[in-house]
Amino acid sequence: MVLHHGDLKEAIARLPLERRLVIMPLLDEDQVGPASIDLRLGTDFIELHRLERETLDPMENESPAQIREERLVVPLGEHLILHPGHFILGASLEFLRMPLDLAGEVLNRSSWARMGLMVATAVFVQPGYSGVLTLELVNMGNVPMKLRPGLRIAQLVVMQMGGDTSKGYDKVGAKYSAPLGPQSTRMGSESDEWKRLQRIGSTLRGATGGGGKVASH
Amino acid sequence: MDQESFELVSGLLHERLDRIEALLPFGAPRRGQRLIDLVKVVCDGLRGEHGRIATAFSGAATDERRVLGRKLTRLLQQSHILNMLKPYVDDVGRRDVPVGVWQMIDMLVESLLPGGADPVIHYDDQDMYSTADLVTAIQGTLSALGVTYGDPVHPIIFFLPGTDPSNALLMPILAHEVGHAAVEDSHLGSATLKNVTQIEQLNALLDECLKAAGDPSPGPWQFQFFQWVDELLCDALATVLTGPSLLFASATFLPAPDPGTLGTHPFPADRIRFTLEQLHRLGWTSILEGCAPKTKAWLERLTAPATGEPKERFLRGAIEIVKPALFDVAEHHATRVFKPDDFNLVSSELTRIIEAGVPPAQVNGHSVDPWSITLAGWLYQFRVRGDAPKTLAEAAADRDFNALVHKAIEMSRIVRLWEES
Repeated sequence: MVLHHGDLKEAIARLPLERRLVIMPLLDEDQVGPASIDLRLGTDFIELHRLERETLDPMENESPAQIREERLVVPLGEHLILHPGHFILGASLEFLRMPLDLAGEVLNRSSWARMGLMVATAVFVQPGYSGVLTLELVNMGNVPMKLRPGLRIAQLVVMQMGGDTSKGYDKVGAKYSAPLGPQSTRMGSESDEWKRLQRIGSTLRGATGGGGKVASH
Repeated sequence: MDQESFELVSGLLHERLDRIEALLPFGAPRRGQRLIDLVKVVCDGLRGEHGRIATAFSGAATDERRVLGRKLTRLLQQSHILNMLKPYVDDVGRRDVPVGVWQMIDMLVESLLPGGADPVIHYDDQDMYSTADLVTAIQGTLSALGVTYGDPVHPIIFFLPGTDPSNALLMPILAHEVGHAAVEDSHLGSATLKNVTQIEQLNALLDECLKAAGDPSPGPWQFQFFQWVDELLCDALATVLTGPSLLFASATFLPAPDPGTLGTHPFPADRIRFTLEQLHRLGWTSILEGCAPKTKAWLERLTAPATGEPKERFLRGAIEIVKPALFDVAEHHATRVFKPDDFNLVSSELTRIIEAGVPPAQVNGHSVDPWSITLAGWLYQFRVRGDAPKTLAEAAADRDFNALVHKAIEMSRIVRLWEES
């Protein structure tokens, strides 16, 4: 069930704090809409140095320094220019804390989407999540676009769980434990699965005499 | 100097100026722009002076050419000032400084420097906090070149520890450093001495100690005394703004048990004692005794042992005499005073929010003073780590916690600006 305006206001004001949907800061009460909460663009960004990369293999588990990420800070009142096809990671201005009985999903705001900006492609907010939300920003349009921290850029839809989950996101390995700025991929931390996939690959290569491909008929 | 030599030195000068000017960033004005303006003023001054020397040189007799040649050589030496400015030019408009650091510096400038400042942040490899007003630092060269930097707002370099530039719990040290610019701009040292009621006692102490030392020249003693007064004024300004956080940050950064030397700064234990006394004046004692009584008692027990040396006796005695005037001047100068009553209004809620792992930027929908957040951070650390001196070091070293406090400060400033807009 998607929470409506009244439910959202109630969730934001709940006591005790542990049961509350924390949105910090909430600059304007009218960010709480009929069935969603507007989120603003934060001041921190991550950009990949494209000129020094041949390819990016998420399973290599490289550190940000190894993959030559650059962190940029753009204070309120200043802007960042996102060129066509350009991809950067940003973050919500707001720090969120999702109680164990709620989950959320971050959606594009249509006004930005109509200008060609994709804001969030994979942002599901698990129960128990705590931190700012990393936003994947891509300019899908044909002209450069100015991004200004503080502007409303996405919307959070909040859903009621069937009950409190006993396995809140903050308890599941804390992969993104209370991030305070955008976070780059941690896919490499799923290395156990990668090892299994490698073993399967070896088995298949053995079965087909090498070459790395399974013969097709 | 002959014509060929004159041309060689002129060429070297112009090459240096061209090289520096080519490095200056262009485009829209940015933070620290006034440093670029200052470099341009210096370059223009050097070019102007060179033009005057060259014109005179072309029609001069041999003797005059010798004098002009010396002037030109001196001008080349003066141009070395650009090498001093160059490292900071690279810092203009930098985009890797956390927003919270900028905001903290902006707030300190607002609170302490009525004339304003254009901050340039420089990460210092020696991990020190300090500030430098470059216009003041090169005033001699500007005067020699016959140029003036007309903007009343000066570029100020903020040196932050390179390995940990955004340590939220140590930020009160930065308040002390901004205090130096305030002391200089507003002549707070002179104001303090004018306010001293026991000036005869001060002079008598100086005479007595000089006599005991064999009547050396009083000048160096007085100069060192003024340095101590400036340092204590900066501590006092920072205490007014940040409250007990300055005490904890100083005790960590100095550190408090360091016996110190008879140099440009008063002994750490004396500085801590002064800060404790001022906190008592400002009404913070019950909060300190309620939240960190053992640490407070430990700080009170620290002493810098007296050697009995006359100069030391004078300096330590003199600062005791000026202390009331010094506190008055500092408390009068700061545009914002952090009061215990204000902190008490929000402290419980701040603690609850910190405990939940959330940056405490808003309480009941309103922005929170950054120094309330910092103090709540320190007191929370005493609560969870224990009321002991070692907590000071552990809290300052807790990077995740400092990042959380820093984020809260950044957010609270945004909320305040939003409320005021």
